[in-house]
Amino acid sequence: MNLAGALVLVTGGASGLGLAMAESLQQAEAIPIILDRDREMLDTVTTRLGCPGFAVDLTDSVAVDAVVAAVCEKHGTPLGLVNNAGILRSAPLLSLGNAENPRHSLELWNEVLAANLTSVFLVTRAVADRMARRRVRGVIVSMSSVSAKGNAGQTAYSAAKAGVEAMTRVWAKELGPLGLRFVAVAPGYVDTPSTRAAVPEDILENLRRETALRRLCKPESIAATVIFALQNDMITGTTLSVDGGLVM
Amino acid sequence: MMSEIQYAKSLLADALRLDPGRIPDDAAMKTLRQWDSLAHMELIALTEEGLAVTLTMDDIVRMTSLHGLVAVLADHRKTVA
Repeated sequence: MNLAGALVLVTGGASGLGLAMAESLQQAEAIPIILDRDREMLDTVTTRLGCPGFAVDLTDSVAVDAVVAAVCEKHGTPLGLVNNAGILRSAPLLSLGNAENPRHSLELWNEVLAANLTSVFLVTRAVADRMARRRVRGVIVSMSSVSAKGNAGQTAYSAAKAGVEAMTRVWAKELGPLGLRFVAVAPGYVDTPSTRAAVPEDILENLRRETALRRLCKPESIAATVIFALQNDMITGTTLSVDGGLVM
Repeated sequence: MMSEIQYAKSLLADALRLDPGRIPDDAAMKTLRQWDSLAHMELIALTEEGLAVTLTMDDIVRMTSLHGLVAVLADHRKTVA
């Protein structure tokens, strides 16, 4: 894909990793369109970047279909989609020391699956449908994680990310004949405020030491991989690991 | 030289991984078990490759029967000619 002038949707693009992707896309002369549920941050970022943005709950099927229709009507069919939005929540399957709540809650499971897996399904379904009908040979990049391999303490998050990788392969097989490409990107631990808020400092330090390159990922490294996945027209149905050698 | 219906049958047989002789003249997605959505994707890719064109959504919907496929092939050959 030639990124110059290309419309690329970025979910969760108003902060953190998504914002880094939107900025990198803009530097590559693409036109990022940000979808985010935080209207205030969305307004701030879209004003600063001078790009379009839409506030939406990505777990709401009707709202997702409506916002993708609005994007297409106002700006045209996107050439790219980056499924970046998600939440990180951790809990073990069993907390035997916790007499009152020893089991992983179903509510947490549903929340994490909705935010990290169902949202990817809903947005991709809506955007791929538009791309296929307009015969746009688009590219859909979805964020996975090293957690897809199975991180202790992350039943729901690991399941969701493994699901994202599986859907990527399925969609690549199904829609490859129409020229659509699907790629997953699996970062290690990315040095962002949300990671530092979610993961205790001593655990992050241990992870850093377990990483071959002895450092956490920078958002810019992940964004560069997303740009590469969008541009390289022979990559599809695979997961690109960007973890500094944390999982080998 | 292969007739349009023979060429259509060869494309369909390739997409469905069947012998062309097993494709009836009234073949359609609704009646041929092997002609499912994924096989249709394959048919689209083979047709685009064979004609060196990008099919429209109208074409894709029309070519859900052998007769429809023949019509789409004929339309694109006219355009090319």
